[in-house]
Amino acid sequence: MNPRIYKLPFFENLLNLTVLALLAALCLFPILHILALSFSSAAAAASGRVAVWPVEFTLQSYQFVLDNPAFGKSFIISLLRVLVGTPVNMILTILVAYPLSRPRDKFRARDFFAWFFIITVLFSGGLIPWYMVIRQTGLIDKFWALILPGAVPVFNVILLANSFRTIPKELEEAAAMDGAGHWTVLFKVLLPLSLPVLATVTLFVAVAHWNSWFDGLILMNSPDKYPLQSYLQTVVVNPDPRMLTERDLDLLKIISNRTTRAAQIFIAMIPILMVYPFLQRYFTSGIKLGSVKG
Amino acid sequence: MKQNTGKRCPSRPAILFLLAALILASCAPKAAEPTPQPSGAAAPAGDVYAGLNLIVPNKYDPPIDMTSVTTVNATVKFLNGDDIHNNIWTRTYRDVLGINLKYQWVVDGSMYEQKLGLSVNSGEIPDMFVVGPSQLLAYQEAGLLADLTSIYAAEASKNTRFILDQDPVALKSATINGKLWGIPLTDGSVTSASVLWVRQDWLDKLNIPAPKTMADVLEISRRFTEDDPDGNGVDDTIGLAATKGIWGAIAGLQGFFNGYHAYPGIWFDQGGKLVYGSVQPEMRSALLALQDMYAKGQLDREFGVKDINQVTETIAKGKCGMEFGVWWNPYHPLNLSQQNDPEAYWAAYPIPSIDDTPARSQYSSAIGSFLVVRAGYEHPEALIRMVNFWTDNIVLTQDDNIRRIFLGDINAPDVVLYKYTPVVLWAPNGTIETGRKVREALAKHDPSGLDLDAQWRYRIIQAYFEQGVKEAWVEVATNGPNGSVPILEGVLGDRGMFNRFYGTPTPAMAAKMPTLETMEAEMITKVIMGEPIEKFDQFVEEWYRLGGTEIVDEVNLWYSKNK
Repeated sequence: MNPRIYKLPFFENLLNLTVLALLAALCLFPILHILALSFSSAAAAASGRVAVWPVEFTLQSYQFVLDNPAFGKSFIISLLRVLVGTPVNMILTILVAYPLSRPRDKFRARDFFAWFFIITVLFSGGLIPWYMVIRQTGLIDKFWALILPGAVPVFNVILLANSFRTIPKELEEAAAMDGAGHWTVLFKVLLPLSLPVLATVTLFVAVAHWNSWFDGLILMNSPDKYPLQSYLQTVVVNPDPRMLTERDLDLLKIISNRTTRAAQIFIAMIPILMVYPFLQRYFTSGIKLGSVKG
Repeated sequence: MKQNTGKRCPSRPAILFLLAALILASCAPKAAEPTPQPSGAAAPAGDVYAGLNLIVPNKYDPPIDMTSVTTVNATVKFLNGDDIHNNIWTRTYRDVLGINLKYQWVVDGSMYEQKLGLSVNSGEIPDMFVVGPSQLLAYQEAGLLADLTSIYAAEASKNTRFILDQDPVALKSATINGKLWGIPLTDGSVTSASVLWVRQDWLDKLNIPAPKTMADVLEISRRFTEDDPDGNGVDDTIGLAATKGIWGAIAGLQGFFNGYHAYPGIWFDQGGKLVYGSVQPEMRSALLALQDMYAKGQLDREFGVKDINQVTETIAKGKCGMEFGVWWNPYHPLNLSQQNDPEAYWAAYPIPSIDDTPARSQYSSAIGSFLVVRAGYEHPEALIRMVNFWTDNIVLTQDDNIRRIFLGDINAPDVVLYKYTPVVLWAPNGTIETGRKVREALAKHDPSGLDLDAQWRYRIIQAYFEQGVKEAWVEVATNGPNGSVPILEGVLGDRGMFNRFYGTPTPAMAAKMPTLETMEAEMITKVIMGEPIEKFDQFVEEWYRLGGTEIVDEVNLWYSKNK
């Protein structure tokens, strides 16, 4: 019997729905909690009286965030980073994936180059060499330090190259008969057929750019150049309780102020949440297309 | 020149001054309110220093350049137009000392060590910078640091020596192989000692006498848990706060262990040799007591997963009646408890003892970082001059103008100016001295002669007693007559147990101590949560086997040279 037309008995259907609804609630709860915290009074938040509904409703935290120039500045840097970084990543990923997807008789050095890239996934030079390379190339403290060091995400290249390989080569041959060169084949044949995978990879890199914080902290020389997540990291990190002294009182004060933290975290979530609905429908099929059949 | 009182900076507990402003605004309208300074405007260059009685060392002419690196946390605020590269401190170094201080980079405090490591390892070493103990050792061994021995001897001013000698271990911590490699950033050591904080309003409500022995503490813990001290008819209170990290400045259990004459995590002298507190037999009875308390629901059932923020929440909610913590706990987090329940009052008690021998509160050296100079920098003495400027003019000053300009305006408590410079050495006995002066003034009912900082504290305490301003309890509970600060004087006397090992970690310590500490915290958590006490003996055995023996030998070798 074809499982697709098999109708679940009422009971099992109910069970399925309940379990899935619970799972969804599990995912939703933290977001609602953060949202409720951000609209609650600091005292209510500090004493843990807030669950998913604001207690002692106030807009103070959002006022604080809006009055805080550091937040706005790093928000813009993060936006720029996504807007610049994502196209750079995508262009380079496509340009690397295409030759690697060619058969060996058409591109003799393919295996060498494939390993050349894959090795960087398997082995990393370590933090200090990474830093030194970036420093020697003069990128430290520059916006491009957030873009260029990770410009070729090799995992995505493999995903895309595999996807290209699944496209019947008859299509390319037909195009070639009509006089198409490599560029035409890539842009007119392969890319339009790989939209699901492209959407997936775009989402990956956009999210990765939005979420990364470590490189900002290490590569920028002053806090006013931090992207949003680096800035947030400095606000939400917990100090070691054994090292606390009365000099840290102001820091403790900020850290215990959960409402402003929540407001900042929530605002930081919004832009990337807005990307998902547009791309997500390609998401699962994209991964399968690329890697399983390849 | 005698300025021997260790002075504290005025603007540190910013909350306190906000509180003071609140109290003065509500209780003594207009009369006592100081005229607000236009704190927003950056001071005009040139006449900032006019009328200030500054002791100025030789100025470099022409000015010299000095590169450095520093931290700026998200909480640091600047006056209008200023930033970390241009502020009162950089201008003063330039205009008064002739030193052009340039920061190569500025980073959040949490990333400083990592970023410094990357910089130094890639050959980008600043002329002057701050290091921690392990970095001091590593960079000294790598030959990256300048020897400051003779420069310190020649250039250090009387006040610099006064501050650095007030803490007997300060200079020793920065000394390797008999030479001085850094200027320790001093602070009060004894301020890390625990006291016992108890909900006094609960004690009064349940008619329980003040705790004098650890047996009293156990009894209070039982009654706080069972007798519904918050009167809501629900069994939802616990006796004692604890966190998953076990130790710490807030809800740290080291104070509890001290009551049993156990000193976890520190080294102390036993028959001429240093021993490590965590593996001594005294730990047993304290662990058993905690185990019993846990079994009876007097500790948080889930303390093993609660971090400091979650414990703060329990305290703020008014669900917890006792905690072992440091003297400033009323400023945070205990103030949150009073904010949610106006009647809440936490009182400080010295650590009680389980027997007739008075308990001793453990504390460690406050020296955690050092100012160092790059080997090969042409003007290593410039660092000493910056330190002299600070010690001669700022930290011991009684002049409120100097404080306003260099440390922060009392009317703009969120702008803390000393955060702009790495050269900050606090007088080791500052907290205690200020507290003593405030208490003397309270006894005489006369605040005259107090500097602005002490005066504010005095007024806040007065507001509590005379106008009944409940929020002012935080100052009463610290600098008041029965507060936590007078307890520290006892700790500085014979009621304290000082960690006799200080300075740079030994090699085995650097390599193995983190693992051993994790092991210890796990063992303690498990035993408290009900595993047999034999776990402790097992831990002691493993501790020695997994590197402890080596560490003890190294520490005692160090001790024989640094007694």
